[in-house]
Amino acid sequence: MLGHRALILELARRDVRSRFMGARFGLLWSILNPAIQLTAYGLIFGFLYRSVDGVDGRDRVASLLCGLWPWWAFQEAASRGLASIVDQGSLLKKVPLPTDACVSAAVLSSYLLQHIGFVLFLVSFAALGRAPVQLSWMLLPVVATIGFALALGVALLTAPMYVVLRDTSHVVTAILTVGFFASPVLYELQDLPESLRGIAALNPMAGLLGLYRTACLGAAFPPWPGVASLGLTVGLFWYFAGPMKRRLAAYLDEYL
Amino acid sequence: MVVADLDQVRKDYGRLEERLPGFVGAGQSHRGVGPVTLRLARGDSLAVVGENGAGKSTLLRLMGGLACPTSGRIEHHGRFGRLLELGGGFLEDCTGRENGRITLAIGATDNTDNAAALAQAFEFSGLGAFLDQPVRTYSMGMRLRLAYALVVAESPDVLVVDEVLAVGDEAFQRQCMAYMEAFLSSGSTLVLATHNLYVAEKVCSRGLWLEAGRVKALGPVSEVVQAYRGALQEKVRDRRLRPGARFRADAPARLDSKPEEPTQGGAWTVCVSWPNETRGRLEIRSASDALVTTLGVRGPGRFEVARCPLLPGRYRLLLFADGDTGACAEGELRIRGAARELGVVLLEHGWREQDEGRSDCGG
Repeated sequence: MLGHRALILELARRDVRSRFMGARFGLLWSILNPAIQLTAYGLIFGFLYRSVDGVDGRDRVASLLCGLWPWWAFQEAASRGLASIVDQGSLLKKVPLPTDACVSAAVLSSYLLQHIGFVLFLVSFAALGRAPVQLSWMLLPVVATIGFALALGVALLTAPMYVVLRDTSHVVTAILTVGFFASPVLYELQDLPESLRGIAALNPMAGLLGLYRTACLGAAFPPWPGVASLGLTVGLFWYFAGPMKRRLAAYLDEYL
Repeated sequence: MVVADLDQVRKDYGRLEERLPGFVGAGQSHRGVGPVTLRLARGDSLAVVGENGAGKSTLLRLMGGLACPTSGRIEHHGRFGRLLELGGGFLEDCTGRENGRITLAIGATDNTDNAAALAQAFEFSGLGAFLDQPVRTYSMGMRLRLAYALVVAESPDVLVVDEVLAVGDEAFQRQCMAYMEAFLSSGSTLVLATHNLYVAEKVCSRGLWLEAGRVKALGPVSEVVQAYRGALQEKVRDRRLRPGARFRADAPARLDSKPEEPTQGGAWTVCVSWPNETRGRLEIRSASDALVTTLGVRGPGRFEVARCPLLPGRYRLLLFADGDTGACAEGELRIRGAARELGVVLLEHGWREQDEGRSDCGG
């Protein structure tokens, strides 16, 4: 796939262009919309958590930032990656492009765009003194790369399935909806009752979001089952993506 | 040097539905095209002909590497330029110029400088100021111009072109024909699917006739096109003739020629028998299916021609009721005679030598 990096970058640029073409404020929307959502969540949770905020030295809104925005990045990258082969159907009917390149480009552009907004907000939070600049920020590119690898794995596996079976996107949407509440996005693992914490930690997204909070906020390293399951999940998706693609390759052109 | 090698290539549609039970619209798979065994060498030019749905586009997509065969093997060598689908593949809100740049950047396999190729493509397209307009404002013809120019700019070794040129205007079609001829004379390879048999014969040296996905004929283009043309005429004739259309079995339409084989210049009568009050027309067509003339028909009756002007040869008579697309009766007509003139009719005329010193023709 690295051999196609020039193509992937070009497709990603094309993807970004096609998304913001005709919108006067273009790129701004990819930051503004999440910002509005974050503010809404921040206000509600800031109010709810007022009593506990700061008690254990945690800033709930900063924690929300490091949960919500990476989640959005993952969700958008995975779902746009899933639809990418179908979205590029008209191009694939004219030029034979490797489908992996289309998927990678869609995931890359979504993930990068979301992270522009995320980093901007992180810096703003730092300026406000809510997420102090620290050495652990150096880990952020590594963590983001792991998140990207996960989203890409999901997309590489599901994109060919989606071409031949459009139900795939509904299934993925349902899983993501459940996942949003089952993962420590709006809360952190330690907010859960003791009995649930062990199971919740097995969620790969608990590992990923935990790593984001470690990198950005200097929070404690997430429990190892979460990190291990994150690694395992990335590996599994990548492992099965290849056979899935090969299996369906002969049928894809029929459905585009 | 072989540029495309197809070995027992076959493409079926609907195979996945067949295999996965419970699939929406599950049914039987059907043949797209194949099996096709074919080898294209450098400098070859292949015309693919056949009716709609015969598998021409499927075959071209297979040859262009845009589809995977269900079975069989395809090998490609060299740079392929494809012009198969119009309309799609552009960013609608971007200008023609930007789309050109993006298309070339995506298609480029090496890091060569595209600027020169791009300038050449824009020149070829002849779109001028329209290049700075968004592609969504383009007509089909303009899209074709842009797409064709971009394919040309990639200087392919093999050009695979589906029936898309038809939407271009006359000037652009000529430009494309000239390009294709120059392209072929430089030793490149062309695969062209077309319904324009004249173009097929003019540009290509080999022909492939597909019928319902199967190869009906593969050989020198003139032979293949001739065979296909013959089959088409047969079909057109069959479609036109629907014996007894609109009429009851006890009152069928009939055409009778008297005498059966009239002589050119002699008397000729055609009797039309069909229900009273029926109106329609009688068509006289030449052997090559060209319309010679029509005659109006009101109810049953007969045409009486005192001196038949038709030149000796074979003709067909077709009887149509108003509003029908199919003929309700057909008759063969053979005109005897010794006239040597070419064409279908002999005008009754005289000939006078020009008088000395003055002209009747104003010259």
